[in-house]
Amino acid sequence: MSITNTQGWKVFAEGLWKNNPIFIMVLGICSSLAVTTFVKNAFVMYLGVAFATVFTSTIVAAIRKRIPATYRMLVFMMITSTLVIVFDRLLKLTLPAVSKEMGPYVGLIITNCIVMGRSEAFAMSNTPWLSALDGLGTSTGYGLVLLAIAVLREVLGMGTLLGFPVMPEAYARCGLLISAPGAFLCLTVLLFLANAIRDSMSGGKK
Amino acid sequence: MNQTVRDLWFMLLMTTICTVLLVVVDGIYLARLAADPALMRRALQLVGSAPGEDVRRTFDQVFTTVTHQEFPGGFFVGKQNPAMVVRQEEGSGLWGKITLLVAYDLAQNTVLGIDVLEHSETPGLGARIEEEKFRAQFRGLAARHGVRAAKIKFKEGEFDGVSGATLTSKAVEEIVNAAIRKIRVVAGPGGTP
Repeated sequence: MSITNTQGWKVFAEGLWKNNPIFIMVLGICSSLAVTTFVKNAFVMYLGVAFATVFTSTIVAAIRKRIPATYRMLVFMMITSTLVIVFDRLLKLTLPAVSKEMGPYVGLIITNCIVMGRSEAFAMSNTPWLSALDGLGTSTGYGLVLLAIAVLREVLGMGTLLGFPVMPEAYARCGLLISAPGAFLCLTVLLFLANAIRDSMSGGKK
Repeated sequence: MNQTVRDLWFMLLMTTICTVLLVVVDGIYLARLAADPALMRRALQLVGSAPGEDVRRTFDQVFTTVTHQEFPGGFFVGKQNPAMVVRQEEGSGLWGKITLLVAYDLAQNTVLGIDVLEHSETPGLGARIEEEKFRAQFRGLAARHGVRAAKIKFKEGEFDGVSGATLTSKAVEEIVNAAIRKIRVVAGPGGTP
């Protein structure tokens, strides 16, 4: 049996493409626009969201039978905020410069709909192991889109990639892409491409 | 009823676990933050000690870190001369946060020097607070009643503000005074912390 046939892989891969949080669920848009001026920041953001989603989902799944239905949102928020604060502190200690550039957006992972969405939609009715894979898959789907936007914006807007110059000297930087509206443009183009690919893959049937 | 009580216990337990975890993490974080080697080097240079090969060791030889529950962040108190205290203090400048390192001598009531750790002031104007010429004014500045940014210096504790950057100069004045005030509170009536 190959790895791509296991249930775990299916759960993981679902978030990458079929149920990509940004392309399909249109969640996490705010942060995907805010932290994508540099590839490095986008990657750190991906790490943060992955950390929060995987562990929140796992913990929620582990105690799902005990969580009072009425207060379940409260419990999710509590777990997520604790984890995000821990991540924020870690980041401040290890990469203070990146942490400063990201500003409030690390803390705002708490309100990232992806984290809570996965707890509510998946972890509340699945085992911890599958929930962890689901969280990882969804956040990786989010992270890949984030990186795609960041590469577009950094290369075309700044002429660098991960801080190293990649464009020829004569290249005129596209300042629009660095500004906030540029993020919308990138996201729209990617969303259009993703939908076009999806349509052609399903053979035109709706 | 039974269910309600059980839910209540569950929420109480969850909250307790999260709170305890956060307190522990915050404790570790603050302890690590105070032990930042870059900050140690700047503090040593400010009081004229060479950081040497091992910054941490030199720092431990020169300073002890004193904490005060009212003011987050540490106070670096001189080991040989406990009247010498270094304090990291921040405040808002014109465009953003300004963080200064202020060394103060409690026995002489003088500022020993200041260092600018971070700022986002206007380049060419407010940003000149970084320059040696500006910072040098604070070396040995008598400040029994705090410092004041002035156009013409004629009283004790006055320093030349940066021309064209009144707000930044005022911000530096406020931050230095806040640092002195906190250092005095920590020192208490005895004069040394």
